[in-house]
Amino acid sequence: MNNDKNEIDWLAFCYAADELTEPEVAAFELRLADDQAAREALARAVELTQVVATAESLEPVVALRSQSSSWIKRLAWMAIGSAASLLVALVWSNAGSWFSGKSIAAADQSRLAVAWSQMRQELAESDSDLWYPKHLAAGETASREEQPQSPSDPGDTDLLDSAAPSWMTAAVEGYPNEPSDPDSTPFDGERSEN
Amino acid sequence: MTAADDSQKNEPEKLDASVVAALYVEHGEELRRFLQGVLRDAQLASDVLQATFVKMSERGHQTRAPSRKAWLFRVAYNEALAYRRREAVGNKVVRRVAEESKSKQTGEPGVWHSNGSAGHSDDPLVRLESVQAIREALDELPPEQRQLVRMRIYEEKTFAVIAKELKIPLGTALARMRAALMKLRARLDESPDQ
Repeated sequence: MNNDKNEIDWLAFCYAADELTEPEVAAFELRLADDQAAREALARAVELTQVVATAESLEPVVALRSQSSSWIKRLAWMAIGSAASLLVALVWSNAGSWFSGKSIAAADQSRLAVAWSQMRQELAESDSDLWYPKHLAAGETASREEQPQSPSDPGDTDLLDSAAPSWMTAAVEGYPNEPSDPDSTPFDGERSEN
Repeated sequence: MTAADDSQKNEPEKLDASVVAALYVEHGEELRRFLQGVLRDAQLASDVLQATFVKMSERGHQTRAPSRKAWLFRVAYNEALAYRRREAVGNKVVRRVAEESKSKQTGEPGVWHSNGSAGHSDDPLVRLESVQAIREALDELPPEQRQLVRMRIYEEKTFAVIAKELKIPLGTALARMRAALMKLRARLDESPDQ
């Protein structure tokens, strides 16, 4: 009985699936005219096929979703990676310019310190000429030593050293961490000290 | 005897509408599937189903209650064969073939087993519980049977093509499919909406 049912179910499926030969189709349709079991088997075959097709059709959707979500994840990671790389590049380039800016400021400071020093040296020499003309200097060395020195004598090298601003000494001594002020002038130190 | 009595006597007898409605609820879907199996066209199946129940309404009083289901199937089948012979069927088949080729181009499933929308969950004939039951049953199938079911029903390949692609004898392909269908059928019969 069960075998008969399975047999008619299979035959009905093959009929619905167009898997029967023409004579088989004709024979089955003759059977459909009289056999209620065959008619019901055909209805069952169609039902089963529809349900299986629906169930199968849901599978690719799920696969597609997971595939697309994995693609989205991949794209997200790529975007994050690119953004991170860009950020690192930006930080690196800024850091480079920052460091180079510092070094430029330090070099400026050194140049300024040298220039300031030279200028003070020249001033000291010219002042020295005023106080001790060259034509007198040769023969009056001893008397010069006896002369009372002015506290503000610019020819005094000790005074020159003590008058050097801290930023200059820092630059000359090569302290890189000393904050630099690109707008400062050689006289700023003097002003602050006064 | 009055004129009213005469008119009542001349009025053709009809089966009570509530009986017809009850028959439709009980057998309508099964009949529709049967008609889809015969006609391979969901719209035609609906038309024939309607015509069948009109006949049941008009002539059902001549039938005995226990034989009404078989009567419905027989009338439906005869109506389907009549439809098939008409030119309208030819036109619809041409249209269906065009739709089939279109669906093949777009990669969507074909129409022979469903409402022109095989595999779509909004198919009124396919209930969610049945789909869930079949999905579970599909997952429990041996891989070779699962593959065959998918290739035959979802991809709509013929057994000959499947056997060639899988490099197995045609008889093996048929046997696998038959075994798979028996398991799926059993599971579908157990589902709550059956």
